[in-house]
Amino acid sequence: MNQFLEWLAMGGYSIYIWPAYGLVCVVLVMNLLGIKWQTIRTRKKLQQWFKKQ
Amino acid sequence: MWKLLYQLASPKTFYQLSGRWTPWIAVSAFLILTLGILWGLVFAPADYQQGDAFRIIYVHVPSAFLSMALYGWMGFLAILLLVWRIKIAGVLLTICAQLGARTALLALVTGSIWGKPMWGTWWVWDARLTSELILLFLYGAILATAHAYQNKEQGDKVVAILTLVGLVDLPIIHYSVYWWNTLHQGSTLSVFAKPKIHSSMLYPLLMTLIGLSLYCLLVILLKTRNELLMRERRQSWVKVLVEENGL
Repeated sequence: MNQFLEWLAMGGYSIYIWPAYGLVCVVLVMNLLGIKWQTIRTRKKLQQWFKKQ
Repeated sequence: MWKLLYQLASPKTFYQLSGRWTPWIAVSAFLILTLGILWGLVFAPADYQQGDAFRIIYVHVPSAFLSMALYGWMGFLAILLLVWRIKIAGVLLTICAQLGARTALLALVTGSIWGKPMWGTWWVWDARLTSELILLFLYGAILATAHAYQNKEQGDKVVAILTLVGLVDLPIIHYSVYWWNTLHQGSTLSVFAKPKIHSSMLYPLLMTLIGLSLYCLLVILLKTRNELLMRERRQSWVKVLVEENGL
């Protein structure tokens, strides 16, 4: 447990390292979620467009 | 190789082939990126000068590398569109710019977070930082231009010209640390020289570099597939896809 806490502390630089990694993670995941949403929207739009034709 | 590239220029083939590749790319991107980050955060030794703070390198360098690599790739796409009139290059241009803007922003913010404990400041108007900020603005200008056009194909051409003009920033970013006396350190990795980093720290860096590159490839393919379906909706292959499979 102590070893884990020591690792989390990152030699005193934890307030810099974790936000940096957190931000990268959030941006990468949000980007993928955005694509998922875009795929669903594209599918709906196309189906509507073909119905109108 | 050339035959494959030639085939990929056709939207229908691109859609079919990329559909087969994306699951594999997604799995390898996730595995390599996770392993690289774990290796960098847990197993790589602390730096003798920077201590554990150096570990930001594993997200900072890959983002910075990709922000530039994507722009270089966009330069190639711009030529494909303007000289050979390959339409799919126009679709890819805007999508690469969206991703490039995100990686440039990540490079700047993670760099800034790294700068505070090491340099004692979040930001300096140093040649490397400023030229990377200009790259972010270039991406912003390209995206704004792309959005301003109702006629997407016409917009693609203007975006391509803008991209070629902005290419001048790439060598400036790369050589800024040699041309000027910058606070930013010199390159850690180079194609021609021996890396300036010990192998215990280098391997996780290479893994995060490859992992993030694969992630970018995945995002580009997925977004391009959606955009192609919308743009090519008058073509029979899209009609068949929608009617037979419901997509």
